[in-house]
Amino acid sequence: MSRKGDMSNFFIRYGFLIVVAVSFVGLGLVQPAFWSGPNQFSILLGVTVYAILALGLTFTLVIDGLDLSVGSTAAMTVMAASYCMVVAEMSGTATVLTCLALGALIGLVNGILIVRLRIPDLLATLGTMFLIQGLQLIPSGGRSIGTGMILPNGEEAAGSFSDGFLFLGQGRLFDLVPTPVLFMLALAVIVYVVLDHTRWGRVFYAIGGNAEAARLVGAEVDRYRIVAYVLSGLIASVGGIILAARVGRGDVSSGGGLLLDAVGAALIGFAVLGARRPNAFGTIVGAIFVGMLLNGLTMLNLPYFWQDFIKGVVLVAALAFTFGLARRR
Amino acid sequence: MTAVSVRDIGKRFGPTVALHGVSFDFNPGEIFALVGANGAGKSTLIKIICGYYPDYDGEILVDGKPVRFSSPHEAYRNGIATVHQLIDQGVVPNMTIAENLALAELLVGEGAPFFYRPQQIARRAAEIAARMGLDHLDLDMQVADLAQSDRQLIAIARALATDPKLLILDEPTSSLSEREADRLFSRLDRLRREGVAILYVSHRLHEIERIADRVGVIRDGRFGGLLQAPFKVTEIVTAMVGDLDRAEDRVAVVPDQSGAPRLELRDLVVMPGAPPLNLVARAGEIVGVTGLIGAGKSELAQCLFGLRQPVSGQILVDGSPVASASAAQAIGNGIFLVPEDRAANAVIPEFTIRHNITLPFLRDFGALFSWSGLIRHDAEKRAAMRMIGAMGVKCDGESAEIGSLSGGNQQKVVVARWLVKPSRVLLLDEPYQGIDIRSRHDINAHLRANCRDRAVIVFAADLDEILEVADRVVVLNHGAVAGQQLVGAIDRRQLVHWAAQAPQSREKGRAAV
Amino acid sequence: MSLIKSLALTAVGVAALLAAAPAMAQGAKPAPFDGKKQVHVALIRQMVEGEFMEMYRAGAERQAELIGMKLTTFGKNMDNQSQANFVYQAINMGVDGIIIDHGLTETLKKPAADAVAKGIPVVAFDVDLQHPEINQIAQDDVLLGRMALEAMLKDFQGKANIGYVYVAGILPLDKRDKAFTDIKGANPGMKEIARTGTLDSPFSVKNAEQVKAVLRANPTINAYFAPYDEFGKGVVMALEETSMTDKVKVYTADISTQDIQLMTKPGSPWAATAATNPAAIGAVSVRAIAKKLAKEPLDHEITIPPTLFTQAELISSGVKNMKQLREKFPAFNQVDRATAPWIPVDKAGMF
Repeated sequence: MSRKGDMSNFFIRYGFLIVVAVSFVGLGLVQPAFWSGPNQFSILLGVTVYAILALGLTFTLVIDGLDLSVGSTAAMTVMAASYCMVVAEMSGTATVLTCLALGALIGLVNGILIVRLRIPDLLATLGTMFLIQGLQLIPSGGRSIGTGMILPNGEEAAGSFSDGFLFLGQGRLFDLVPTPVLFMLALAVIVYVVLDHTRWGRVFYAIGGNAEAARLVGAEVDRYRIVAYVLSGLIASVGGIILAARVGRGDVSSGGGLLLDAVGAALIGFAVLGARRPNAFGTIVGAIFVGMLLNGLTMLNLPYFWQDFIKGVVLVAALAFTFGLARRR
Repeated sequence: MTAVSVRDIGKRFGPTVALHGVSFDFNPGEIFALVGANGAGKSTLIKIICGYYPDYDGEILVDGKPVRFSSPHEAYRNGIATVHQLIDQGVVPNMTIAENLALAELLVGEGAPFFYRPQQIARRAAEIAARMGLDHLDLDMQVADLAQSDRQLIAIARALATDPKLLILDEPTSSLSEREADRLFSRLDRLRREGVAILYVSHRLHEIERIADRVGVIRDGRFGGLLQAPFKVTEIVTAMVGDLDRAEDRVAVVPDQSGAPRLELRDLVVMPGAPPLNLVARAGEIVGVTGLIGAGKSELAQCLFGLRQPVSGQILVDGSPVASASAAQAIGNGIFLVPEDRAANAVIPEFTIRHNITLPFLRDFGALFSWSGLIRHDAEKRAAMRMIGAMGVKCDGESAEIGSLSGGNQQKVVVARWLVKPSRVLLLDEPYQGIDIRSRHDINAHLRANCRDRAVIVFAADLDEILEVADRVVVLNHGAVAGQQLVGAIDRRQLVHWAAQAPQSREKGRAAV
Repeated sequence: MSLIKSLALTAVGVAALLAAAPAMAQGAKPAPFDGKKQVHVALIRQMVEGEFMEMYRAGAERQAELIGMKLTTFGKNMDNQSQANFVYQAINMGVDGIIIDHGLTETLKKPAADAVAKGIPVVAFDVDLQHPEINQIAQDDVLLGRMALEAMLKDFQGKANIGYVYVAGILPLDKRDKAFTDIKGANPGMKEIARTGTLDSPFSVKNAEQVKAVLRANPTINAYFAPYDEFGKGVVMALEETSMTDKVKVYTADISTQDIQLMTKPGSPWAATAATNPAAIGAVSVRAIAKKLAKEPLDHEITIPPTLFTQAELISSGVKNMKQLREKFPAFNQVDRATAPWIPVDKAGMF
């Protein structure tokens, strides 16, 4: 290998991480508060929900699909959790289990639409996205759900969010590490191990690479594809549970923007370590990088309307890097 | 005066030479059939003539003048009109017949008018239709509502609208019924009388016997012969599959037929209307199954591997009947398959060599507890290294991406995948497609070395490929065994006869109908 | 940074830039405004879009500039969990004070309490943070509703058949609804005939469709109470499309340039609206945090009184937009809440 080749390989592998490191140092030099320990956790906390959604989405990207319904699944989970706690007055554990079951169910519906009815993934999940967005409004009559809300039948809702449930979103370990961040990191490790170190992960990737070849080595391709969507829905509902516990109220507008942020993080992840494919580590790094940039730039008084632009720039640059430069090696 | 000639056309893809320099003349008023086995280089030649591969050796002459096409569009402008195999690529289903006929000239072509003028289109479409004899069609009908043969005729009519020097028909009957094909042939007769030069590509040798004036044969990327009408199908087949007088390397080999029967097929009907098929394959032997396209080779392989359900009959492995509803079940029954068309069916392009090799049997590299699904990477790596060494895969180590390998080495990896674990029966469907001789020998040597406990069945259309590896040659024709010979007692003439005889002439065939 | 800063300033509005020179500081300023250090305050918002929100921000920024403190605005439109994150980010930045503008009680209660625990003073506008040390700023929504309804009461001499636009569960609307319930109770002649309401976007058009149906079904309606200007626009639209502008009078809350133009249009059915000045509320929010930082006494609840604008007043004064409205109706500007001698106010400008 020539020296030039070595250089470009190094750049492809570590280029993105170098950009992350340079941004980290640069933002801290301009605004020292950026480097403080609590602020690091602030950044992580800020990206938690959509990073979790992106981790679920990674499964569907790995099998060469895409799940557009993760954002609305999370939003629906917020409403469902609020309904369970505030209106149905269920326990925290029962609420969590109900929400997870709902998420998995939505994933199963997606999987069946795509695998059995052969609806293209984008269209099927776009359809369920709208469906869920509408569905979540029905139980509460289109209203936000909070303690004391007037139910459609005129009664007042008496339940409230239990402290245990709220701890999932607002608690802190050692008064420092927010619980959602722990969930995110744990989930990232699990997804990483499953995708990179288990035979199931290998088969997921094989299906994404060449589904017919995977079928001909004996993989139950249809079953794996359905499972990918179930995992996506299930993980989206984990994100939704944390969102519900953070917001503490069934707010109708909770899910806005989650989908795009999650898709962005997963796609940015392609560029990390020159992977050129969806991967758990890249997804988390992508999510944290965007969160870090926005945190730092907000500290420098960047107006809110610049945020989407910055995200777009990072995403386009990462995609150009992944598909343009890295492909030529 | 020839309309179009090709001179010494050569083409290589990386290290693989697809064409070694072939020359043909295509004359006006003549149907020239081009034949060759799969991978012989036929489609490469066609693609060069119609401009898909601008990078080739040799030259193309149109009306005696040398030309060089850099794109299909340029070839089209120079009078090369092509109707491709898939009809629906040639017509726009949701437009009317008239619009389809006038598409090139009046809707998207250079100098097409800015405004859509229905009368102009209708007039021009009527002219084109009249010439092609499409009088039976209402030109305002949607193409989507038409029969396949009519769509085919429309695609051809449109190709002819510009008065091309050469009309290329690539497998035009592949999706037509016999009657539809007959209708097409009568139009082609008419075009021939009008002086059109037609290059006709087909696997269906009986059609070629019926309509072609001359037949050009390509074999292993070289000129394989030129035949004048009238000709017999057996002559064409002989030219396609090889030189009858070629010396047999393995004449002296006496195959071992003492192994226990591994695979037994009892009255297996692999496709509707086919006669029952009976075959036994023993441990330690390599059976070569050959036959023309459509003879049922692929169907048989698919039935054995659970990708297709046989119409009737039994499959026995080690004496007990098995029924596989999927590849996974077939693998569970001890039947492994190296599928045809490596790129489409076998290679996972983004994977490393190691990951490609170990994919079917990841469970064997499990760590700790199998329920954890965790993979022991070191064991996996050792297995991959062992297979790379055994198969002689030339690569930069087990972690190189499979895309970095040549076709032959990729094929070795794909074969190696199925030798990691013992099987009862190993099937290889066209395993030599697009690979070099060296890789072929490596693969064969390895199959031979590893066939002790398994029955190996190689499916290939090319007789020479089969003769190189097989202990026994089985010829399929119309879904059943037409005959078989042991290596050492090979009579090529007989093999060719078995492969080429019309199905009706065989007693078994008649009995089944 | 200068590019970004100038963009931010553009958002403040040309009016603010062209306003009269800052009034001279009267007397010595108390610590921490005595010039020893730059005071830094975070404004953390739930909604950033819409005319009301923009005027609020302009008012807050202008007042901060006059006091001489740095104001950093955080906000991502309608993203509640981000709003909570921003509170922590502001804490990490080490700001001196935090203003929270709208949001969900459930989401913000804990972050705000955490800020207070870290010794950072907090004031809140239109969100109840349920903390004894967090001062609550709010429009007087009950009064807002009552003023509009009293105008109706006067115009109809206590006898009106009323159509009502209302969506339950929105705090300001619920308070305005209380005023309506009170008025109905005290005046038997004020009869509610029909009630509709939706928060489907666009609000005005969707409500207009509902109101049209109500008008056809209930020809006796002669007054409409729509205590939110987008609802009011919908009612006016419905009346215009059914050619009933001369039969029904409309009473609303809130005001904007577009509202003024609709009200002063010849033949407009829009009789009166009660409103507070968003820019003044923004300024009050900043003054409140400044007084808190200077450890001066401050009411726990600061309510901003509304002003009533009738159609006749607006037409006779010739007001065409918000700027002229502020000039012609000084009471609207001069909201004397949370003031101090050392805090300059923008007399000629927005508040």
